Amino acid sequence: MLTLDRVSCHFGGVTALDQVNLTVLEGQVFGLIGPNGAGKTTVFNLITGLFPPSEGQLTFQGQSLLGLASHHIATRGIARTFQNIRLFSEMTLIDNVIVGMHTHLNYLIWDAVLKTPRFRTSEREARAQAQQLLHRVGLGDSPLELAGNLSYGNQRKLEIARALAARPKLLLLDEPVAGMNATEKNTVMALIETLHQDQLTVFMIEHDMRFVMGLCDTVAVLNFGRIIAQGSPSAIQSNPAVIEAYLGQEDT
Amino acid sequence: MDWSSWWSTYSTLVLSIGVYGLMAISIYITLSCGLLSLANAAFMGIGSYVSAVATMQFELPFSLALLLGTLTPSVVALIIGVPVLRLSGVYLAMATLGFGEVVRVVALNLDITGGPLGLNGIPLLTEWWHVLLALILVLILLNALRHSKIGRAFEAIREDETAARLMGIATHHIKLLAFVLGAAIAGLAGGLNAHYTFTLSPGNFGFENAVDILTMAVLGGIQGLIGPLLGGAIITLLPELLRSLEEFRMAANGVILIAVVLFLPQGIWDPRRFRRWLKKRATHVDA
Ligand SMILES: Nc1ncnc2c1ncn2[C@@H]1O[C@H](COP(=O)(O)OP(=O)(O)OP(=O)(O)O)[C@@H](O)[C@H]1O
Ligand SMILES: [Mg+2]
Repeated sequence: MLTLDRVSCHFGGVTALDQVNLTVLEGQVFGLIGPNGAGKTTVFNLITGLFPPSEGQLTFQGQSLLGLASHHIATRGIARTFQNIRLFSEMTLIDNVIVGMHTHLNYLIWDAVLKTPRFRTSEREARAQAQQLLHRVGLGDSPLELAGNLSYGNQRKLEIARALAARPKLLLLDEPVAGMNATEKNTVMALIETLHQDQLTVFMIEHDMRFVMGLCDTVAVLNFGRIIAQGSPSAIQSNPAVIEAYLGQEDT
Repeated sequence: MDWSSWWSTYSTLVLSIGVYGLMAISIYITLSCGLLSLANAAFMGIGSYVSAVATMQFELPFSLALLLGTLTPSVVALIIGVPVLRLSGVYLAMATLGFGEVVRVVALNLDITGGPLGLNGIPLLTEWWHVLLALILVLILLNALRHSKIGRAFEAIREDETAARLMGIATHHIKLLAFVLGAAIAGLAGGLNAHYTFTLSPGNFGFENAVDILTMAVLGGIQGLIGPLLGGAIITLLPELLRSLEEFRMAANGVILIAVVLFLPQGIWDPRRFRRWLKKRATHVDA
């Protein structure tokens, strides 16, 4: 579904990614792990078109992503969350989710001005779907609360709801449970399991090993911009190169 | 004082409240999309000149002149918007001010605009209800947009343009739409303005006017459509109300602005602050 073929990315003198090859298959929950600064977020930034790779090819569903603007990549079916939460904090929870549906609301300006049936129906349906998504992530109780007032963990959940609103084929999660307590982690874990059952392809970056090993069918390890291992969670856990890379690191 | 003599004294002031309400709304649109554009005074100038030339030299009907006064700045905005909207923040403000200077200098040097003398004897065609109707139509249009995907996209872009783009919003199109819409409304306001002030000169649409218009929106508050209207009215009325202060007038004007910005950073009309007040009062009553 998604392939990175010998992708490199340099920032000035820093090589953030060096000849990275990755393949995410349809229906997979794919995990990307690695120490801080390894280049994980950079992988997501390249996939979503925030900047171009210095070298290499990115393909999604057989088509190249190179040269596509970010919003076009989004309409192809890739949605993401952010490591440093980027919600619209002055907007309500439900409006955040409805912004995620932007490309699916296919009425024209005139429909909005004249309040045509097409406008009314699609807005009403969007609101209902957004409410369902809020329920799904456990935020259904106060849809009119401002996003900025949510706790850290709930903001992460809202980001997932907003990304799901775009009805993506591939969901990119950048550290979805960072800063969450154990209960919150479990609800997100259960949520991702249901997404997996619904055939959504999930590609996540996460430091929490229990979380990654519990959910992912394939895990890749990035260290200093290079993929040093890839395989099933159990193979990764016993891989000497991985243990080496993480040596001395706590909380992993 | 009976009605007709009151009106003959104050009609210009009343019409100006409406016209500057439109101007404040025109800049509110770009601000609500996170764009600090100061081109609206220039768009107003273009609208004024185009519609005045249309009625004076081509003897077109007023409605058609207003239409041309609305469309011409929109087309100009569409053309300059593509390169200029790549900029943001103070760079956009500088570029749009620069554009305003270009418009002023062009008006100063063209024959059709009357050069430095400007245009005199513009027919007095603007009736109070023209301004009212324009305001109502603009408010209906913008209120509808605010509660649609367009309005949400404006807000999303203002809050986090990157996140908005990654949600599939074609941010550069949406920003261009805001810019053109602002230009259209400013042009309409200019056309209405020209046909009750009798004269037009290039100086009317310079730097000072651009800053005044921004002040109106910021003072009134940009959380919705009421704030800019209120700001437009206040900035138009303030010099009249402070008339008794004579030469201290401008200073008093400045002091009031500073006070508002310091104590009401979201502007005078701030629904969220009102809600907080109401809540506070409710809890007081409960206690
Ligand atoms: N836009 C950028 N400009 C310059 N350097 C960057 C940029 N983005 C990332 N880098 C650099 O690239 C390297 C990889 O960063 P990246 O954010 O991808 O790491 P990460 O694996 O996500 O780390 P973390 O676990 O801390 O989130 C770092 O050295 C970082 O400083
Ligand atoms: Mg990261």
